Amino acid sequence: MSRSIQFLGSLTAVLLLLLGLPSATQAQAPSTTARVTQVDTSRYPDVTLYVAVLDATNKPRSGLKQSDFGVIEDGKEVKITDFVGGGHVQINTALAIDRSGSMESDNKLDSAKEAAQTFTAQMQANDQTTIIPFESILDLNFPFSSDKGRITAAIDNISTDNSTGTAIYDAVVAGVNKLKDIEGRRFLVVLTDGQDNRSRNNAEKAITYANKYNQPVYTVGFGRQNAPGDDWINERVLRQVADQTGGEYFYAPDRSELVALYDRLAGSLHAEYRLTYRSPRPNYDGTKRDLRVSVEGLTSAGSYVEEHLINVHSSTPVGLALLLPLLALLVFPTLLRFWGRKLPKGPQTLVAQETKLVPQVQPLPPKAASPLQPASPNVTDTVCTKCGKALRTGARFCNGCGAKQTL
Amino acid sequence: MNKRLQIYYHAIFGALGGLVGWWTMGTLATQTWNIWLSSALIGAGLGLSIGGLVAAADGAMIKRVPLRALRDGIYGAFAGALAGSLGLLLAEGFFLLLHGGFSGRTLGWMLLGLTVGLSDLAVSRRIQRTTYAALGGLAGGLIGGLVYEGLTRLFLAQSGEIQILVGGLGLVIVGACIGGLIPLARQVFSKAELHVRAGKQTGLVREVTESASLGRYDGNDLYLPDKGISWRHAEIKQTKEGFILEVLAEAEAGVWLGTNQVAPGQKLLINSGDQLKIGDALVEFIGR
Repeated sequence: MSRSIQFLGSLTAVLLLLLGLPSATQAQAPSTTARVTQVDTSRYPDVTLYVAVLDATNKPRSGLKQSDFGVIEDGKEVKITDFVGGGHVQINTALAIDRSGSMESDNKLDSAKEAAQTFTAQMQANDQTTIIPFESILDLNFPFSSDKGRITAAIDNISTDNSTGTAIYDAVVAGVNKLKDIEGRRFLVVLTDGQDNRSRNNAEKAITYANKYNQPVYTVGFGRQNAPGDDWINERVLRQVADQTGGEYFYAPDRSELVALYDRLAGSLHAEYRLTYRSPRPNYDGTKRDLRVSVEGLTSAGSYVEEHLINVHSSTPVGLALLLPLLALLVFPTLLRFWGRKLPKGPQTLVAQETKLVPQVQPLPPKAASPLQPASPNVTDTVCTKCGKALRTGARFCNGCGAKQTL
Repeated sequence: MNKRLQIYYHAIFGALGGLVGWWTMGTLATQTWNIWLSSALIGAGLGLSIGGLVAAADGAMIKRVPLRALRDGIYGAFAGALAGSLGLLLAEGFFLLLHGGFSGRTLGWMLLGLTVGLSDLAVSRRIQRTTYAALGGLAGGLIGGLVYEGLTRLFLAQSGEIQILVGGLGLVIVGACIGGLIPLARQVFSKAELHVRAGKQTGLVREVTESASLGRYDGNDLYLPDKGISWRHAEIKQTKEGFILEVLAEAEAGVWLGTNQVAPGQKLLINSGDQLKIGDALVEFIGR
């Protein structure tokens, strides 16, 4: 028994490990790295991949051509039908910025605003950005905009609130909500200097919600990693949210590093490549597809799941091919019974099994012998409204035709 | 009709329901629709056909009364459409949440089976019986879902007509499993059975959940088409003391229990092995 339990335990652990693998993993190479940052299947069977390629110094690689990339889905090499090089991919961004009371200290809010402005400055003509300032409640009034001036003004207007509450998980959900219906590259980054204490959602719910819409969440911890009381960053949770949604967690101790981080993120996003191909298995079968993207010999893995639970594409020949055996199975027992009757000494049939169960019925005493049995039904002058048969007293249904009677 | 044959017919009707649902829904280009809208519609179509045909199986193959089959089928179809729509929406949600695969697909079909089983309430109007049906539907969805996912993976590399066949076959199997396991669950969980030992329905076995009705009306659980039997003759009910036989007040005659007769309006505690003589039919009550 204990061995069985150990075996089951090991099996479960292996399964959990397999299930826990991130959908997009980073391939490491000594010189450069490539990473599938987003898989967009909204136009399936056309699949769009966003790929970031960084050099040894973590700077984006630019100037790569379509011929430098190769895409393999489920072991089959596919043809790239559309290619957009670095600097030309449209980016849709949601910048969630903590503005709770604690951001007042050490001018952290000013630093966050400067970092957001740095990010905005790198926006290109087709890019659009929204700002989500949050404390215990969220400010969702700023829509997506491509107007740098409007965005800059909105960032400038963010001010701290006296609230001590911070709703980080709600900010994640709000960011996903804003981005989920937008096609193309979607980028969500959530900055905080503390820990969640006011969200209606918890970390698990926020992660589940982000994963439901394939939205990676990038989290930024800004300020003190360890401090007495509640005034410190809960890095464990920020890392968990990022890791479990395919995003990344960053820590910035001061203004210069925070601004440099946002500058780097913007640069990296704008240097991403967009590759579109048609799935070699364009079936609506709800299966997982494994991807491999190769760049100059470097390979990055990813995956996506075709989102249909069932395939309901029918055809008359296939329908008939399935119907006929079912009809045959439907009449099969009747045919078997008929065959059994014709061959009394033949194989056992269902009828034979049924009849052999029937015992000898003991003759019952005549009904008049029982004191409980009325000599004759208590028939009154009332008759059935439908068939005219005489009814017994209190009868609600006619014994002849079954029609319901009005008493 | 013995229990195995009843399950068999329900499974075939469930399979036909899956096929009809797939065939009709498959003529629509649901792949190009919003995923939630298509799930709701496909679920409604599948629930309507599986629920309707499974509900009609009793009237069509066991009672062999076409109008009863039609009436139960209509009730089952309406309830199934509603339940299927809700079930497949939930199923699609869990499927995406779990990123597909065996667990996602299986859980999805389990939810559809559960809701189709729950739609039995529209036909039976009995809580306990519906609970058993829901458990059967859940188990049917589990088995059907596993087989469907297995088929999908087996024919992963194929395309064209093979994929269409796999889709149709998958739904036929899901329908058969849900259809077959609903009566199986009722038989497994019920605490008593009625075996017709003599009369026109000789060999028929019906389970007793919280209650079972007997009579010449085809809506009774045990349909006894004998002129000596009243339209609604008797009922067997589960109580704290055990099962009781109640001869309904409107019955034209009593029920013989051995050498004693239970008159209309009377109740009597019955035990396993008791034989009930109603008209020309002899029914044995078997408790567990």
